[in-house]
Amino acid sequence: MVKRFLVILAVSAFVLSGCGNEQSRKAEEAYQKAVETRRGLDSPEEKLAVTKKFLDEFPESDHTAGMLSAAVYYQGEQLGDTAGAVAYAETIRNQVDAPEIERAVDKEMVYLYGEFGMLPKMLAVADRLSTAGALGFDDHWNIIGSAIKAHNWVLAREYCEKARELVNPESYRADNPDSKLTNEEVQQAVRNREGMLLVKDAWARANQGEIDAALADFAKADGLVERSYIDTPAHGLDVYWGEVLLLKGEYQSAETKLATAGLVTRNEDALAGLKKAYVGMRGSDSGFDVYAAELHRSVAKTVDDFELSDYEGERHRLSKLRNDVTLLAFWFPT
Amino acid sequence: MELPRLETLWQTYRDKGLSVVAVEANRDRDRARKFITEKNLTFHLLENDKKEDVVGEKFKVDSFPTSMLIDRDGKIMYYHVGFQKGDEAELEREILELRGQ
Repeated sequence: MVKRFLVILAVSAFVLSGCGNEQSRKAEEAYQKAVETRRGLDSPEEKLAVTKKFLDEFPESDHTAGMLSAAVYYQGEQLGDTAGAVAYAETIRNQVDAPEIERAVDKEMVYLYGEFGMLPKMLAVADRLSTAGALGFDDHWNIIGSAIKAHNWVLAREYCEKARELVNPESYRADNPDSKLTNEEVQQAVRNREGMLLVKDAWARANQGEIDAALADFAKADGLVERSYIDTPAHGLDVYWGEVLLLKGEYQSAETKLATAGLVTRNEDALAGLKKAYVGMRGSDSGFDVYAAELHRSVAKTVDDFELSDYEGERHRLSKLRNDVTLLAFWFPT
Repeated sequence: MELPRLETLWQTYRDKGLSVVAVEANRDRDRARKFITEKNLTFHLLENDKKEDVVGEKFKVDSFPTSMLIDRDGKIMYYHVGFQKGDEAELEREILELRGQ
């Protein structure tokens, strides 16, 4: 959810309302002020108060969905008040009438209900959106994620199937009307969508007992999804794949899939899976820590060097700045 | 707001073998500068080069923050996307573990 929220912040900085009337100008001003104020605050309680103050004053604006997403993030995720976050979102939802804003808020509600395990409510809103022809790929993706989290494999597969209808350039362009991507980039995005769905569908399938079919789909997805800098495939493919290989008793292959996720990104499921693979091969977990430390070093990628300027214009090479341990962080100001 | 927390880590371990290098995506230079001055950040702060695009092209970073810990041989031993409650403690644990090797 954090990642999603950061993306919203980044995007909302560029999306300014073009409406000319007085009320929307006031809303825009209040929004800019709220975001600026929030930036200077550190505690989620204070950030939540600023966000809610804006929403209470302007429940219907171009920023309703984005600010609601932020409010839910502070109250539900950071402060742990799930019930309060849902109740608040519903009161805002009830004050919205304009169809376009209503749809944007409903998309948030799909995500929110799903994230907090309220699947019947999630599906009711999804049906409403679907009837209006407004259920995009991301909404399907959110529903699939929530279904998997709830171990509802049938629902997950149903929405993978529905989302497959959106795996084409036209649907991708329709979901991203403002993007200026080239045909080639759109093709890449479409391949990625195909891979995303294969990963989740295969995982649901494996949980329904179709192990071999799932393994075949993981292999197919491996050629489609994006890879990170440290070469892990996106959407948890390596972890799912490794766990299914464990079920088949293919311990060596499972180890290969789980090593980077378990040891470098510290994914707990992957680490537990690595231990299972070790026990499967050797009969006990004795010596696991030494083995894990060696495996960790052998799979760790060597960092590429680069040279960039600091804010005074002075050039620096990473290799010259490094120490016994180097923390390299990529950020942008929110 | 994870950068001020990095400053705390840097101050704690700067004499014990830790370097901190933060690369900013260079999407909003003025805001970045303001942020750095306001929060009094003193570790190495670099700007992405839009032409060369170290952040997007070389490191394929599209989610922020993304952090990694590099050991003395240049190996990336820890890689993490996002910043949530508890991440700071995990980062410190990993730093201590790497120093201990």
